[in-house]
Amino acid sequence: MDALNTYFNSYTIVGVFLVIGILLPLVAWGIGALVQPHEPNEEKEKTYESGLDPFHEATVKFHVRYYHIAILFVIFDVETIFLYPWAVAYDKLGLFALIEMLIFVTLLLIGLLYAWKKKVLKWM
Amino acid sequence: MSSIPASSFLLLAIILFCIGLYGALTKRNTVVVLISIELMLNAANINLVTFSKYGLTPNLTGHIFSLFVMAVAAAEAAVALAILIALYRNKPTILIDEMDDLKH
Amino acid sequence: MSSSGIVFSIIAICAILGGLMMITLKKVMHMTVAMILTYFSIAALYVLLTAEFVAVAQVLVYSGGITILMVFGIMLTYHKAENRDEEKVSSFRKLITFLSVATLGIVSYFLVAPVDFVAEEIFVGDHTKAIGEILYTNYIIPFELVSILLLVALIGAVLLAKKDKEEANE
Repeated sequence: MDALNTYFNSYTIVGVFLVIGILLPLVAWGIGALVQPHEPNEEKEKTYESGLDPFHEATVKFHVRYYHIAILFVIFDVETIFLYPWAVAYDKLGLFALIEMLIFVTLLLIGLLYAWKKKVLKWM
Repeated sequence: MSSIPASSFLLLAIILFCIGLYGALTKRNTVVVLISIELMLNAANINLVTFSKYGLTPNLTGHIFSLFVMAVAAAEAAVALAILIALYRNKPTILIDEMDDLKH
Repeated sequence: MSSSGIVFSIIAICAILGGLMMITLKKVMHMTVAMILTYFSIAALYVLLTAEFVAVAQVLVYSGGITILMVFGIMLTYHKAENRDEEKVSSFRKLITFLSVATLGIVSYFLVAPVDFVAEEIFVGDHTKAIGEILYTNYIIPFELVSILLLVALIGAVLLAKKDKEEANE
């Protein structure tokens, strides 16, 4: 029970940081809204007040290479999730787990080599 | 600290699962349907982690299974969106009920 | 109500709020961002259930990875149609779906309500180490299957999304 209390107490600081992190911008915006004068005109409403006039639409179709990078990121993100407990428990696991992990990493390395071969990593 | 009954966690999981199911059945946008499915998987994960703490034989197996579910969900989302992109190239629609070329 | 009950209520309200926002908001990008709230709330729930490593994995995979994937999926397809999305689903169908889903929820609530297992402290301390020990002794086969699944997903997704460029080059 004592260890459990320590566990939850150590997360109280996370909660405090969360509350501060939410309150800080809210208070800053609130004070700003109270203090500032509100006189909108057409020039001020523009996206770039002293820049170019915006043209075209914001919802253009992006190039597919962004999606390739996202796929690689997600796959190796999941790999990290499985690597981490292995690394922490390494001294208790021994050689068998090392070989298993080598197979795991090699398989994903094949995927990375495939992506490399397909010129996914190249930003043309 | 452990005074929360198990049923309240399960109730939250039910509510989230129902929201996800409703979204998956009524929305027409493919990406939104995918997000709803992710929500349903998350609700299942809550159940797994809850029963690894509560129950007749609590142990860490529930945590490990939820990790596997996350890996499968990530792979599923990557492939599903790639299929959507490949379909979108042939037929510019994102509405899931208009992707019925095999029917006609 | 105890302090943990209050914390649980706040987390549960945040999670349900995120889900409801996902259902009701109009734009797809806003829906995706609303889901981040739910993902973080569920991570906080895992912390409450003393599942620290799963909580971190939730933040990394869902709030980080899958949300990014969804955002890029939205950016790559042209979402002009999102406004007529709602119109064509008839309200009759919505009502029927809502009634069936609500029935499912109520029935499962009555199944779940009598569950009164007592929380047992399975493990306090180095969770990650314990998970590693079980994962790499008892669950070796599923773990290797995950690696094959990830390889297939990577190759399949790259191949599916790649196609047009090579055709354009030829």
